[in-house]
Amino acid sequence: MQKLIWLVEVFYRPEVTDGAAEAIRKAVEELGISVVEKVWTSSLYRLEGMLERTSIVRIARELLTDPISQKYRLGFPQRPGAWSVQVWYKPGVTDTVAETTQKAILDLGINTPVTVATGRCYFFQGKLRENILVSIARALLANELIEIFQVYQPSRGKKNGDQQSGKRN
Amino acid sequence: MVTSSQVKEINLLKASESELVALSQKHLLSLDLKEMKAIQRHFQRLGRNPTDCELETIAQTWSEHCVHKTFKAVINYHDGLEKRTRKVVCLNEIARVTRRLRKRWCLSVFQDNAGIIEFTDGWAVAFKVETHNHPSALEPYGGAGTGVGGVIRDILGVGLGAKPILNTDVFCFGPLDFSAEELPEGVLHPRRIFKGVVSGVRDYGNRMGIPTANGAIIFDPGYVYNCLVFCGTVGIMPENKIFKKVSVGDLIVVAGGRTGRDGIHGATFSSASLNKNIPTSVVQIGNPIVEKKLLDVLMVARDLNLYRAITDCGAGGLSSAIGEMARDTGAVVWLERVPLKYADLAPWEIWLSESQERMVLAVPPENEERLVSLFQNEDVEATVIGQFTDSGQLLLKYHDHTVGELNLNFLHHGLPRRKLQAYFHPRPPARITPENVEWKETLRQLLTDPVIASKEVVIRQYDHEVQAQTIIKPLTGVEQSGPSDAVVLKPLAESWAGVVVGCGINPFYGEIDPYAMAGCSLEEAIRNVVCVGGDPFRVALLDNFCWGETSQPESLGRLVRCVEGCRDFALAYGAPFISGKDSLNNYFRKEDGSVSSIPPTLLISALSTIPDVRKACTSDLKKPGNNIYLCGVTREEFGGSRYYHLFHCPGGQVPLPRPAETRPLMKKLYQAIRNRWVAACHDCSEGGFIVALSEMVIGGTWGAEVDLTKVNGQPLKIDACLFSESQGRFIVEVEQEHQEKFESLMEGQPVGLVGRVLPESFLTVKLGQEILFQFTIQELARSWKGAIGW
Amino acid sequence: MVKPRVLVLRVAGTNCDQETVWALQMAGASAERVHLNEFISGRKRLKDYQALVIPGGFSYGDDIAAGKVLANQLLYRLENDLRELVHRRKPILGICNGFQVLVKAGLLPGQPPGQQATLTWNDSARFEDRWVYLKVETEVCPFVKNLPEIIRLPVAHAEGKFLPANKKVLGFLERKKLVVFRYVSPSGELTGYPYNPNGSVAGIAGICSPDGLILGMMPHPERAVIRQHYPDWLRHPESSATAATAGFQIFKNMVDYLA
Repeated sequence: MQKLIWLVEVFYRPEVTDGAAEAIRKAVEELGISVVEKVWTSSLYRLEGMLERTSIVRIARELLTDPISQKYRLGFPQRPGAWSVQVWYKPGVTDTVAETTQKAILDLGINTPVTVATGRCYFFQGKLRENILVSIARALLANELIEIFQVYQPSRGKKNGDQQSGKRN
Repeated sequence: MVTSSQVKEINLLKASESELVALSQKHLLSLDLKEMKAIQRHFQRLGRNPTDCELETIAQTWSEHCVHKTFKAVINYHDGLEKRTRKVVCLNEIARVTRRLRKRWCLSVFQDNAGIIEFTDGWAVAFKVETHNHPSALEPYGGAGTGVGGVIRDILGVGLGAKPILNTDVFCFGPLDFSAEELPEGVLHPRRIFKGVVSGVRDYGNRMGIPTANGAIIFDPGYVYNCLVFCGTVGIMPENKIFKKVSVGDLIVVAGGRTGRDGIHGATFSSASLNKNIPTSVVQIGNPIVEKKLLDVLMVARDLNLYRAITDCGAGGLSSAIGEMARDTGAVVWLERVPLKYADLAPWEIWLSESQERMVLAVPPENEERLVSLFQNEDVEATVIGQFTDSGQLLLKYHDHTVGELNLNFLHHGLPRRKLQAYFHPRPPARITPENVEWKETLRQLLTDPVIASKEVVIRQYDHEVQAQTIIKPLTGVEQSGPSDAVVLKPLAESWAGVVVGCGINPFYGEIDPYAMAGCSLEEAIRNVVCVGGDPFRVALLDNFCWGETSQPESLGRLVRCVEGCRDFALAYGAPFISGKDSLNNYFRKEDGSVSSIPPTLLISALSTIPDVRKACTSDLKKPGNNIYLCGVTREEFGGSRYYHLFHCPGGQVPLPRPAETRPLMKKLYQAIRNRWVAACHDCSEGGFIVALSEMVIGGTWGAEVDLTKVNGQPLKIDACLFSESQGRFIVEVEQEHQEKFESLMEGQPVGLVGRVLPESFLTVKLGQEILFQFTIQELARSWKGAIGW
Repeated sequence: MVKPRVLVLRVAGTNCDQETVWALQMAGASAERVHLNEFISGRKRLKDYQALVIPGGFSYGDDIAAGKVLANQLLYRLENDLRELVHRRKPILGICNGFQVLVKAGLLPGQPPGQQATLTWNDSARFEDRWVYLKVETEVCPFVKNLPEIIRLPVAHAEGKFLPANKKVLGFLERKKLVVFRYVSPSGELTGYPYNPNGSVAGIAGICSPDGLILGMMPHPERAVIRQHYPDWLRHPESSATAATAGFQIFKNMVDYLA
């Protein structure tokens, strides 16, 4: 089989406190931006290798997701009506979680080589414009020396930056 | 010389002076013309051009970061106080203290990765403090984290390796409420730097399992463009492991993380000024677990005597580490054997990379197999990449090609000594003084001053108790909300002996009088040690200078003045320096060409011991009815004080330590604490007497009543009693049953019985019978604890 | 008397192993730090030990989620050995990261099989080190006997909020009295931050298996084995109640049980 790229999104169940999201909401307010009504976060894992769907589901379910507090979804992360910002490390920057994930996949008995990259996704609901999200991203979410970020419009996908290979599948 | 396609020859032989300067700039070498010419002459004698590997190696080895050119320079110093000019070498002034004091408990000073002093029963402790300023300004989380990782490796690489038992952290940031509009492009907001740096120190230190339990945070607009991040580590080791020696024939083994393109030019970059055009490769993210694995297995290998020498890969990467280890022998390195993160690195990049979490060991060939398999069993990569020889040459090979061959004598001794100009003129005293001061409101505002306010929100994010050795923790009192002066550790299961660590820093004094600043920082570090019961006569000091643009004679003059302060006061307190570090050129060049320099900053860290941790002491008030003494003399010394800062009064008389007065007092206090007569002890520093007393009240949640007419000193004004930052002062709580013994011990000392601990929940300040003001404990605590948010 | 042989398991990122060994030794055990690889490779065997302690730290950096990777390793690489240990009723103690591992491996509470709860991010969303008050339930777990009703221990974690899968799991824990430690106020009341430092459901700080022999707890007993470990030890006279420290008592109970 050929190499595939999968994108796994892991996020908290609605009844679980998302402390990181709350911290960002507060920090956005401190920036003087008052139009953000709600913030969610999720963790992104981009996995590349000769992996079948059953293997990806096992990795997502048995390794990447906590069954009690989290859920996962395969594919491009989005929430109805919410803008999103994805942040990924630039190539060559140390990604410790990705390194650990690669090794931990072996524990599941999945021995095909997998290359992992990790990222973060932030969802914002409110009366927003792209330039507001860009300034939020620059001020709080990403450091462009080591990371790249992309802003996506509600539901309609990409709005800023290059095509992200991770969203195929 | 055979040259592979990946190695470039640098055309140096025929370069003109201007071409030499251009070469240095193009390759980010940070070398000046004189240094470039020394290199040119060397290669002219050899009759060939250097390779990129060779030139880069020299630049790294000769970088300010690695050899401290400014501290070793001969400075033509004009002292405006003495009105004469003399020659000064800063490093000699510092080293002179240690030489002259000749403490037999100093086991290894200024020669290894850290200073080492004797501890107890065959054990020694090592201490090193580093800065990681530029990387932290650009990528606060990664920069601070790798700063912690780096200083931990210094401790892993001192002697044959020590086990880290404590991390310290001291930061200088811009004000957290700094206006975002005023920030130029490329400069991160102080709040983001603050959060990123704290998170970086937290995540690296906590994951390493090392308690972070001593530190300080300073806020000042002078640090908006250049934050300062000081990271220190204390380690413990058997006394018979404090020396290392490479033998010819030993294998060179690199262990730990893999090598990538990370941090290339870190050493030369750290000596350059910041501007908005910074290459990405200088910032890094660390991986603490890789370093933790390395730590675990190194301690096993050390105790099995599997290697003869060790050092860390820091600035300059393998080039510095191996260049240093091979100093007295010679070495051949096979660069293609270095394990890489990705394949396409040029030989010079492998050699210069500053990838984190790597150590270099000298391993006798007969131990190779055992060592490598031991490391393998714990999932740590250890690879033979070369061998020490007796050639006096550093020979770099890459797949059978020679890519560099450097004479080690030239590398380590060929650097021409710099000659610099400096002058110092004292600032004229300012005439403005605060007027119409409302005492209570002033105290409230001082308690909310971020420099003074509680750092609890930061301290609690550090695991300050891992290893279960922290006997005096950074927070103390009923609800652990009062500040501790210093940390006390009990690092050995079988002994009650303790290690005490404190620090002193006050750049506000340095702006006016760098000499006094040196004395104050030094004394504060020692006072902190004394407050918790540490031995004031067994204090070893570390100096960390962070300065602005030292190519300016005026700035350099302040540095010289500060160094002389360190020398004089360290001698006066009998406290030797055992290690030090300087970070110069902390300035930012703005778009319009103007320069913003940091305030002259000196951190003094103090390492001492306490024979029995069960005789330690804390700052929180313990019991109603107890006496409160103010020991030491109060003077009108407001220069650089937080009180003057609050009222925007520049200048003034900076507090000056008086060792002749303070040393005997410290001696008596040490004795009183050991005798268990002292219930609480806290020193007066930023904010003066009343701030220190407020902190004791907050910690103990008991009230107190003090009478300012009982304060020792010349007839004093009220503001001097309350807010002067005179040195040499301690607030001491003594139970009535010990009053007589304490007072007779203190006979002849400047000690005033100023008040009592009260069961009521008020701090009451009186002038004779007249009540000046009252504060409830809740009010005090709310002001002091609420000022720094997360 | 032969000292009971206790295994203190370590992996990449374990960092409370040394002090846990000291605490066990003080309590009379013969304790050994051994790397997980020794068992995976077969060079050592779990069954040679009478008890297993998984100490605190950041196994594998707590990457992905705290304790998750080690939990998977136990499940997928040491399953049989571990099952045998449980089957032979050998005590298992998980502290902090070790508790996270036991819960995520489904060893705690252990009934019904599989992961029934989790330890997730503190409500504050950050790491915090502080001393807490704990109410002790002594009925089921033999390692907490002779403790006063309320004890103090330090917590130091980022992901310590106990969250049961649902009301049924919580009901099971309560009914069987498996909640061994609960965060309370100094007077013993269930309350919010900072006394409940992370927002744990029902203040749960530690639980045990129905037979009481597997105990997991977020607080660190190994950091409270001598009087001077307590943050306010100088406020209390030497003779006071903290003389027998709570942490020491827990390890001693474990050793006594094994003897």
